[in-house]
Amino acid sequence: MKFTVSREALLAPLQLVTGVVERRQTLPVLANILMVLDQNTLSLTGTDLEVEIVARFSLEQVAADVGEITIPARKLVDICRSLPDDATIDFLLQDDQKMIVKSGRSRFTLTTLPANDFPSTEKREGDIHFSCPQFLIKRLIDRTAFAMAQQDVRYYLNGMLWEVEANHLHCVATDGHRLAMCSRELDIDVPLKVQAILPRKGVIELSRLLNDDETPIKLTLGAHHIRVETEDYMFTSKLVDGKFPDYERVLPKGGVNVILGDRTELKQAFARTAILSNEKYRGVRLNFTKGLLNIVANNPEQEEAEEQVVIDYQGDDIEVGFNVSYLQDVTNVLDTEKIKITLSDANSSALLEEPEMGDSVYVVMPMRL
Amino acid sequence: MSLLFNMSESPSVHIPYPWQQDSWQKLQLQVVKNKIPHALLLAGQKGIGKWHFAEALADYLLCLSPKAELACGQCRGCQLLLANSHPDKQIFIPEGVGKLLKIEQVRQLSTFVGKTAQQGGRKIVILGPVEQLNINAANALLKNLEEPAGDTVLILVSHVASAVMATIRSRCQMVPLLTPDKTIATTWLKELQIDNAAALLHLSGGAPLIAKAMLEGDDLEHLQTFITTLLSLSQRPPAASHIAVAKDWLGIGLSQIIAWWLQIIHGMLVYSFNDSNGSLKNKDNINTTTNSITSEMDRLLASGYRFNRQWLLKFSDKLILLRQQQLQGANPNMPLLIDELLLDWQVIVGRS
Repeated sequence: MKFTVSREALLAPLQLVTGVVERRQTLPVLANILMVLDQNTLSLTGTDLEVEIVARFSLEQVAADVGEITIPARKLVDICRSLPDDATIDFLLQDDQKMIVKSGRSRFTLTTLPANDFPSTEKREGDIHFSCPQFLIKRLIDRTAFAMAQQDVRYYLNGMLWEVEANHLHCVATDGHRLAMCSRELDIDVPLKVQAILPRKGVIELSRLLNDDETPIKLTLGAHHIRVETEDYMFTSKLVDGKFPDYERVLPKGGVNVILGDRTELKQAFARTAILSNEKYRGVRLNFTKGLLNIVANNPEQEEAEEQVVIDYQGDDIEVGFNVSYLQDVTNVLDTEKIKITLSDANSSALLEEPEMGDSVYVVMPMRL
Repeated sequence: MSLLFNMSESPSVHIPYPWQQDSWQKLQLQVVKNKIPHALLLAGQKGIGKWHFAEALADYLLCLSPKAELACGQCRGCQLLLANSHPDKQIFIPEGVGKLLKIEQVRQLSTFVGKTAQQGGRKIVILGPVEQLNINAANALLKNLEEPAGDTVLILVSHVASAVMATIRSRCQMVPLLTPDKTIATTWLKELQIDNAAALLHLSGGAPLIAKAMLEGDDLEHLQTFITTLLSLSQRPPAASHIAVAKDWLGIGLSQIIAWWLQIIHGMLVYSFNDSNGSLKNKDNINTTTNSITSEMDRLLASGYRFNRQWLLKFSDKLILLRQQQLQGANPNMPLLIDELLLDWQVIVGRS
């Protein structure tokens, strides 16, 4: 294996791949990245066994000698970073044992491990393929990711459900107290509904990779993996091995009390009352009367916060308790001027959404105060 | 411990030991018929290769194209296994000698089991010794044992299955691994160029891996000290004071002392029964006096007939209780404890 590459071309993909390599790992080979040289394409692979990123780019010169090997990820990044901006770097694998990295007057010898030891995922044919602009997937994730559970014993909640049906992709996340769902139309052709749960870590890493632009990405959904491909990289994540609860049952239907309020005003009112809510339970009391919402929070020190917000509401008086953090999350993530809240009574969950043409719905369970 | 839980360094897949053939064939058949349960508990005496058996089973289950009842050693799965980097196999052991398996480790296990397999096949967990799970960790494990997600096989290993929480035991299929037949074990040891195989096997209570390890560490010297002291204490009047003895024993380590003492008491009981019932007489033991420890050990065992059996059993109960506490992480004052045990022993020896 022998090739030459400019620091500029190497650094970005290298940092992308090293991002998933953990500092502390159980297996020595996981501290390494897999380097595969095939004619003039260099691909770098990093994994933490849960997510894997492969970055690919073309070399300017055709390499003299192809091959594959693994070398320490962080050390290579540190070396490349500290070289001058316009440096070119020569790589030479010696006796399949040592990787010699040379640039100008610097010379480094790195240890290697055989490529066969590296647990890379095999490229297997997935069940479903589709492609779409990046910003769509980014939006689906941004709209719902906050509701994912964290280290819940119900392990299937520690992730995000992707449900694919004909021409639709739904993303659903819930922690058992609140639920977020965002749906978009996509050009997908599947005969049956298919579900996959992306683990929390995979969701977060994926959202870091995606940009808010029109660049198309290819998605593959299999029984064990999800794969996202662009021209520069290929991202693979394991799935959660479980069944997501039937979220359709949780969506409240037929709520009669519809409240319209100004999103920014509500958001600020929630933020202020939250200060004096119980630090652990975060409960606030919402009192809906005709045209006016009264928000009251109490804490164990007997302090009290009270806010009044003008709303558009014509129904009967209702008093409901909510966890204010859940309400704040929803008002933060929506971006319309108004917000629509639908309630059926004081003991059932609230449906929050954009007033019209929205793609996201949020369900928040009430709490007894 | 060190020997049992070291990963094999040999560059080939794990092959079950000769004395494990029967158990292996049974399990292997279950795998072929796709009837392997999701949780197995390998139980048996320490030093008979349970961990090795578990590794062999893991290899077999993760191999993509098993051949002739064994993992092939060539496929992608085996390659990763040989490199010790198979992403779908996880091993959980205590983080040090005398430590317990902690709840964080079981949480890691849950995360591992909750995700799909990276290579797309089975997921294998090997955990042991199960009796060294602390109580919280054991309870956390129950949920995983009940219904692990996806195609998962949990292989638990236990030296003292009776000390494992009943709720864990009842959730696993028990695979008892027996102490090997003497001839098979001796042959195996001899194949490793170990000369006094029979004697060593006798000293190690029939556990071939312990016999093999005895040659490497200080164990043989320790055992010598242990047996000589017990012998001198059983003479009347005792040739050594128990206080002086206690000091010699400090270097041995409590779990080892308990294990040997139980082995001796067990041997004494067998001897004493044999004396009253000639048909049970175990000639084998007496013939293996090839080296001095073995003969001393036999003398010690033979002296057992003089002691009150009930007292012996009571003392063995006490040791078993101590072992239990030790497994749960108790940290007694060693000199005091050894003193106490030796005083008890003197009573047994003196009274009978």
